[in-house]
Amino acid sequence: MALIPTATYQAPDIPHREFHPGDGPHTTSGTTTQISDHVINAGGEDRDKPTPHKDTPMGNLRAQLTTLQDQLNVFLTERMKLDKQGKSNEQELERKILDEAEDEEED
Amino acid sequence: MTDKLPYKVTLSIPFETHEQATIAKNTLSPDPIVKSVDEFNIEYEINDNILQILFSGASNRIIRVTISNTIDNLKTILECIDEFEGKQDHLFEIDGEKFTG
Repeated sequence: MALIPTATYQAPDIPHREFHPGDGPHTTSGTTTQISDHVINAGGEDRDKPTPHKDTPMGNLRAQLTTLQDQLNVFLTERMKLDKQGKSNEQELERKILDEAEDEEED
Repeated sequence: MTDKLPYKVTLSIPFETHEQATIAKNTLSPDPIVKSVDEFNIEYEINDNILQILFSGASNRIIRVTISNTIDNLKTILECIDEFEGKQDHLFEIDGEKFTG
């Protein structure tokens, strides 16, 4: 029996979103948990690289969990960027309102 | 009342047995992932052989950090179960010191 890890996400603007590792292939080398591309491109070696998974239920679960971790990390990083963007838009709007109020006072 | 921790992720990890799910829960639960209880909460539940972990946070950022950290720990637990479950302890010596494992 395959052991498949899943996740659900919920936020004020997203009532329900599901994550499923999919058909694969799955490995233990996560794209979001390895050393940075910059270091790899400079010839660096990831000394903490995880061992490859065995073809056992626990081994395959570990590989699938790595895929799920990548999916969650990518999604949440994107959401963090949007949060940051939203905050800076709010600040920009606040600055505009304050500037306009000052201009009106000067008039 | 507004929810102070409105960002939520539920992770469902199926194990082969209830005992494995319990081992994972008992390994993860004693260590707090972050200090701030105002910004984050984590709950563990076991239903049969499935370990469910509910993360609730004040932001996407704290959810992102705590989930990735927990999954890293879970992967180590899975690897340990895969390597050592069902194996008999045996006595061995290193530099005259006796160990079991």
